Amino acid sequence: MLRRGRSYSRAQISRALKLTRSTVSAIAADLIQQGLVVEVGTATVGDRGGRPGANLALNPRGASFLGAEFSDDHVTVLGLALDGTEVVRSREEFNPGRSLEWIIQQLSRMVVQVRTENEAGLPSLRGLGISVPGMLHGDGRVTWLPGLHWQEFDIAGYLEQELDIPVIIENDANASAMAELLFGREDIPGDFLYLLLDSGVGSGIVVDRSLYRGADGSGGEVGHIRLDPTGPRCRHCGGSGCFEMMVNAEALVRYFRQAGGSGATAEQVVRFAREGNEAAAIALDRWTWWLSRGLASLIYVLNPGQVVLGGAFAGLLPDLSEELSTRLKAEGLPQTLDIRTSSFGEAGGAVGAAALVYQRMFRTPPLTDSDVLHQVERDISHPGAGS
Amino acid sequence: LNVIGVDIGGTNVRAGPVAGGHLGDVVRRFHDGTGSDKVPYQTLLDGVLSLIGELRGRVVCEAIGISVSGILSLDRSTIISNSQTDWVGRALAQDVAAITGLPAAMENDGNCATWAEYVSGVGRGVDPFALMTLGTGVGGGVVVGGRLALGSDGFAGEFGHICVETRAGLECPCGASGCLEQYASGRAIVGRYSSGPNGRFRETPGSRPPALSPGEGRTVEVRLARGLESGEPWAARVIEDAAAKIAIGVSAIVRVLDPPIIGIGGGAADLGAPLLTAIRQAVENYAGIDARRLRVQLRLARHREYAGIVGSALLAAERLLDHCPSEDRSP
Repeated sequence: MLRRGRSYSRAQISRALKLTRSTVSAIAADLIQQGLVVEVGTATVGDRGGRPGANLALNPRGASFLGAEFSDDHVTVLGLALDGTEVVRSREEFNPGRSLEWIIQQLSRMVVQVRTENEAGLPSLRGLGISVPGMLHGDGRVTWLPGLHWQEFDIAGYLEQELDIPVIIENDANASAMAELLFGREDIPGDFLYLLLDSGVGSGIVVDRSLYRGADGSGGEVGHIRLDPTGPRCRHCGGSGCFEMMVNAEALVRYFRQAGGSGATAEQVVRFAREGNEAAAIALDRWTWWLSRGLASLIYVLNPGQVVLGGAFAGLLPDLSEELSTRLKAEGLPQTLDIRTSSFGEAGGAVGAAALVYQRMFRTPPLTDSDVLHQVERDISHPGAGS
Repeated sequence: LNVIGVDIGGTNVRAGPVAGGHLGDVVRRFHDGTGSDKVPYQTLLDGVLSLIGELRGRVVCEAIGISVSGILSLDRSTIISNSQTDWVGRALAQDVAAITGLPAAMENDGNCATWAEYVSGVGRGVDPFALMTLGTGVGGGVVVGGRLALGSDGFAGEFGHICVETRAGLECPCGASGCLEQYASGRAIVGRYSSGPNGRFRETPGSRPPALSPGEGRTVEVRLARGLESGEPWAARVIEDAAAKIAIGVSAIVRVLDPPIIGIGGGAADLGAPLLTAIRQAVENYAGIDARRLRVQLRLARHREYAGIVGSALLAAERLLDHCPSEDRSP
């Protein structure tokens, strides 16, 4: 309720949470003692003549969280304060072809370095979240990263032992979705779909402000819905022409070649298209067409309140959300369809991983379940809107 | 406790009393005797009211549920989109409630059928759950967290518009092409079968399955079912092709929703085991090495013909009478 730098009086909080003043005061005292909450400024006056007291706000220095994301060519580690502001970021690049163990050791070393160099900036560290470019299975600790030819590895177990802090591991699209939910735009609805467009394609689906996982944890793995049975074979799912094969970075380069262009990276094709290269423009158009077809199918299943585009393509194509929106509305989707671009750039996964550590902290008693808090926050922001 | 369920179909309206999850005698009324395409709203309303009046003469009713095709407004009060253009913009449930004096609730037909299965059919106790209906069109519904998921605009579960053909796909009235509905609706399946192996249907992008007169559709369905039974190659081919498209739709549902069970309902479900087997086979063919991710179970819906009546009544009970569905779900 106090997220995003807001502050409220105890009276406002007790009304919104439907708790008695004394309960709120007791909880507040406890949180103040834990250093999570501080009193700021003077009271908002006029609260039905109640005894004035200072407003309560989150103490940015009350706790901190680390998040990390990696691929086969880089590792990013960053730190967030309790109010969600980024206090430190460190990125290292290397040549592809390393083993997963090597990369995780690298990551571990970077975390140690970040902590050593920013001891003051990372007070009361609550843990480390890892955003993983692949599937998690089993109890969510073991990773299967077929795309990078990596096999099972207990990343969380290894790092907990090395670093002696709690470690949470999450799929990159899911983690990025959490970044949008907890630290993204304020008007994000409680139900939305985050679509990660990069060398791979994945999604994080949020329903009622929680990550949606489906019956056995594979809900939201939309990269492998079938689009074109005559398309190229996917080395991840084994099928032909899945969503990922039609709209990943490789696909754009393939369309470019088919249109007569030669040898380029996805970034270059996008740049060529901007510079007026015809083959690149055709390639980009074809890529966008496939993207809109796949996205339409996803929307017809759960009809999320918003689609957030993230990953490398979201950064390269600032007009993509508008373009997709126009196409989809012409194809029968609701005129209210809302497509946005992520506000986190390529660090979304790392921010989201840290956000998961943050969320876990708030789900721990004695605080009220965060879902309730969000409802309350809406009630306070829009008085009279809820019951 | 009786709730009247009303199912508005393409050619007729049917209604029946539902109590404790059980359906009583169903009454039916055709929109008009001519089988005309356009049904004025007043004709529809009169038909609905006369059936309700007939049922109330027999049983005491507390509420009315209405199942209708097309898109409804998010508050479920108004018909937003329907092939019957005169019904668009009408608040049918409100009109029925005002005249009958009973509370009335309206829901999309796919959602009604889904709720019927969730409460007392193949989706009982299954969460998340999805039902795909292969009827005049292709629709369906989704249950998440014990509630019918409508989505942000009421489009959740509109499986008929999942894209299943991206090369020279058939045009769909929705504005896109290659929608599942164009290949797998009962109407499309029967239409293709009826046009024969040398028929032009599907060969011309944008072609529509031939319109069937109400009686004819049924006859062709029976012929198709017999053809499947006796191993007629063309019948098998038609079902195989439709199943291939349905499997693409299933893969989208599984990847997004990951339900342990997907129900297959609608008129085409009457084709039974041959259809189900073909769909299962097609899903397996698509799954490839990733089969462990597609281990969804496919089941034929339990409520067929009366899914709309039962589902709309159960939903009305839930929404209007604070009736807990678990009462109906207990064995």
